[in-house]
Amino acid sequence: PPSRRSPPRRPRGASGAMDYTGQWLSELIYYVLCILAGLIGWIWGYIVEDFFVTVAVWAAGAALALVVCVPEWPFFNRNPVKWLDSIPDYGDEPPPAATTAAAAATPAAAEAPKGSSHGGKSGKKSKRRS
Amino acid sequence: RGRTRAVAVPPLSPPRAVLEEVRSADTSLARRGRDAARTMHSLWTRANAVVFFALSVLLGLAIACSLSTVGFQGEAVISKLELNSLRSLRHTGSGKAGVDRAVLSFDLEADFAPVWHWNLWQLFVMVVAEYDTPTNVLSQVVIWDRIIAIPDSKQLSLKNMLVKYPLQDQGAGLRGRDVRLRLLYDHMPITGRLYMGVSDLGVQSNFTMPESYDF
Repeated sequence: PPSRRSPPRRPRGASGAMDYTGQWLSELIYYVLCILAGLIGWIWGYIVEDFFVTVAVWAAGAALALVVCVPEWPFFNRNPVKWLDSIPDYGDEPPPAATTAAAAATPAAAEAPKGSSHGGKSGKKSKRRS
Repeated sequence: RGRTRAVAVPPLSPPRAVLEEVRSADTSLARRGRDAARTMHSLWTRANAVVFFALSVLLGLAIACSLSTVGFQGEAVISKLELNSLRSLRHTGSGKAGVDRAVLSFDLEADFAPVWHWNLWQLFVMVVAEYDTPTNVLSQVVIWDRIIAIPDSKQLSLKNMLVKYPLQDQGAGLRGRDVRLRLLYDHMPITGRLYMGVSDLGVQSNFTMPESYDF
């Protein structure tokens, strides 16, 4: 079977240049930036008795958070997802039931009837093909 | 024969060897990132998240600003509020349905700087004429008002200021009446509740209307 070198196509709207760790990091950065800008702005505004100074400092912090966290910078892509080269093809053999968590929880006695039912289904499939 | 039918295929899972290969390449940081929120996939969802979190922070700042001024008590310093001259007192309208109307000018010296705090958007200042008639126990008529906003001067110094709105009665009860002039100022905040400040009773000035029209 032909194996693909490139990762499978992503669903529409999904960004390919920011991995999951990068997303978590981006979220952490904008939480910290926005809250810090708010705190500094509030204290500054309280001292000078002007709420619009608070709004100005908050706006500067929010704009910085937008610039740092929204675009796909390279440092957000340092832990890319490791894709498999190709989806394994099992053919007529039953898939290994021992690797699934459900199968691992069930006692070994239940695996025998499960294996036979899987075998029966795949057997039906091969019959249809011919 | 030759027709395809949907066949229920059990979900395939990768073989154990492949799973272990993937797990070994997994660092704790990558696993933590993967286990964390997986919702910010696109540029637009990230921009939305940042903008609305920042706006929520701003809401918190506004509420905190409002709470910080809860116990604030400041009163305007009113040096002078008195009648300058009564221009006219007339009876307008037809017969019994007519009303008394007076036009006057006044002097006002007031300082609103002690009232101001950082949660105040504007002050609505009103000069109110108060009197009582046999038909109405208390009449309060706004004869002049002004908005003092943040960039405006907090001191009011008015000499011989003509009223904006005539002092008009609901009937014909202005002749010979004792009228008190008072200053009210409404606090309009940036965030929070509105409340009224009233001039001290000792500052208000009184004058008496003449006994006849066209004096």
